[in-house]
Amino acid sequence: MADLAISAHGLGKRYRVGQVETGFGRLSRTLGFRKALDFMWAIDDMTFDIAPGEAVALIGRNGAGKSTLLKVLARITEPTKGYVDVRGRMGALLEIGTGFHAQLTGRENVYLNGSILGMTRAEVRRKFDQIVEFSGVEKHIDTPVKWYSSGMYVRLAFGVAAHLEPEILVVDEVLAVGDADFQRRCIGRMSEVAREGATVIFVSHNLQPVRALCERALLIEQGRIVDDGTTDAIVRRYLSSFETLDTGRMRWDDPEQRPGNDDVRLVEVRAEDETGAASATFFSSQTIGVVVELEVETQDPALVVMVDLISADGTFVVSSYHVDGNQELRPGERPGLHALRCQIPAGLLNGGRYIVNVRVFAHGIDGVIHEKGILHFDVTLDHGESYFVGSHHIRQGVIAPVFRWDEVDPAGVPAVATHWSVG
Amino acid sequence: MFPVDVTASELPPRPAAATAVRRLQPSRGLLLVNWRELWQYRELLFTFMWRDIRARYKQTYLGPLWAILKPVVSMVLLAAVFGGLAGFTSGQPNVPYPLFLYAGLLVWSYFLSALPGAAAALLNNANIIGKIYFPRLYAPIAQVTAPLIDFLIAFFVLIGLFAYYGRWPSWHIVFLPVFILLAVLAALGFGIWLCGISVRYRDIAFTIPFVLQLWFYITPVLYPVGRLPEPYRKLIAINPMTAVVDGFRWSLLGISRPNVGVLLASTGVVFAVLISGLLVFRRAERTVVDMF
Repeated sequence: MADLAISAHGLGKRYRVGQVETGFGRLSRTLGFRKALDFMWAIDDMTFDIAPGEAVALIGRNGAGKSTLLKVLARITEPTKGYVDVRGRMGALLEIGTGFHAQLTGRENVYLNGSILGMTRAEVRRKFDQIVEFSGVEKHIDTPVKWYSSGMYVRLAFGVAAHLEPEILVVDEVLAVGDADFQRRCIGRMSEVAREGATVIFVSHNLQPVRALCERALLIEQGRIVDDGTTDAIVRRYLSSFETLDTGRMRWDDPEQRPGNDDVRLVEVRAEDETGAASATFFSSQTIGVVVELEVETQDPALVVMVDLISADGTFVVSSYHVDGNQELRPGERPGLHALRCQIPAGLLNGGRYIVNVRVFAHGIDGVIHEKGILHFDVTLDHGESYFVGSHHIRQGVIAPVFRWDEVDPAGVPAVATHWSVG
Repeated sequence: MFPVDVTASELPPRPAAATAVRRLQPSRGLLLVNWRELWQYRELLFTFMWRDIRARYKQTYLGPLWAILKPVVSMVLLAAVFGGLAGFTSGQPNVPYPLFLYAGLLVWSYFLSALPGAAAALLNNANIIGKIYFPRLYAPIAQVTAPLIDFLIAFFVLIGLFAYYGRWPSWHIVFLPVFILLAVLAALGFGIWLCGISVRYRDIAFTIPFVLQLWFYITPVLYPVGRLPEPYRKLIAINPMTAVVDGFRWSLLGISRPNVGVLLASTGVVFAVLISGLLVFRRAERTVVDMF
């Protein structure tokens, strides 16, 4: 017991419902508690131990209580009951760039952010070059960060956070931004921190790095820990909990229940075939449409809609921004109902089950909607002809596009006739 | 208990130093100040101060000159209106009214910029407070210490005024730091009180400018305490800024030595406000994250 990194006993956090509208108002409405109760337990009766050096993932749906638990662990808010013993210096990363000041330069912000995160100035000075190198903003380090691109901003912010040397590192959905290469580096750095012996507690919507980084996971449902085991087992159980939604269509008829905020809300998400009929089963030779219906309340020309596909084992298959496919599409320009269709080309997906997440970003950056596991559909592989498609009608690999193959001239070898020339 | 992963025990043990166990649990009763923690985080105070100072003058043309411009322009204008038109004096034949006024304005404008900053410290730092732990008390403390830099800059004008009028400060100047400290504590005390209340009641933000405007007139900045009829002199002693302004001026100009009773009363009020403010603030900081 004595040398545990984290040891929680009957931990609970209660919120008053109704007085504070944002965040918990929505959570409570979703849970149907809004009118019935004045209080709700965002987390309740959580008891768990984490040993030093363990990397543990928290897995659960939106509003399950993961973020509240992280906030309690990071001392941002006090528990209402129970207690948790925390051993060692804690580095919490609940949002990247916390405390960055737009008017200050990159260099000034590195020091500011570092000391807010708990580093001393001497420590920051020692790590400064590493931080700058990690983030790749050398040329702009003396420019105010308000001129930074969002990518530079995030890289610098993560650079600072990644060079903290905490004994316990708590990380929330901070990797939602940044390109793939950067995300890979972040994950790499985090596993380095874990290998060096730090305890890591990690929450991410992206289950792939979760599985790469964490050997153990806690499954959280409605504020309680319902399962504790290997990450693979927990991910499987988590994903299977979405299996009830098999009509290929999810609609929120009650405006109160719709995910989003006062500016934009999600009305419906469905998977449909070429004829526009909602379905949960497709052949891989079909074009699959994922339709996202939104209700826009406040004009926002930079509103971005995003569809993610996750495979049944939790691998992040693809995510598609609507602006990638169609720059002209500006659903946020006119308030009202909008339906956007994302077309997944025929002959791309492998056989298997795909889970659909929808994200909506206001002003191009603020994630206002992030609905996970809204629906899923099953794909049966029927495109391409190969002797290697096994009995399960599935190919190796995440996707199964058919690539073009040609025979070309071998390099450095003079071309020889490959056909019999007749006469 | 849940099974603990075996791989953990195979890792090299971390140095045991500084791995004190911290118990996070619902706090009960009255909380005062965790001095040890404040000391551990001391660098943060300078970071916050420095952030506020740097950010304030970024993208301004005159930069820190504003620190001089504001009290000087106010002094000239107020001296013209009250000294010229209304015939206010310093109450002492050998102290010119502009000098008397500037000294008072100097310490008053410190209070004027420190108090609203401290009162808004929790709400203005909401984005950080909701994301990272640090001793919350440093937010208002930084807000009352950062304006000291402006105060210092404006102080040089006062030295200039002394030179212009060919005066030397009296030996009382040794008491100057005491009254500056009293000003800081007063700003902090009232600031954290308002800070604690404003978490729940956002009305505070609207009230502060109005209250400060009235406060200015019941503080002897424009006039010496001696100008007041006797019954009011006792009343004004409750206002801690009376002791601050009067004492500040006495240390510099050596005039109208403040009544010891008034001084003690004011200082008492400052400490009462500060200590009760700490209780209010500590209560507020526990719930502030849940209120955003």
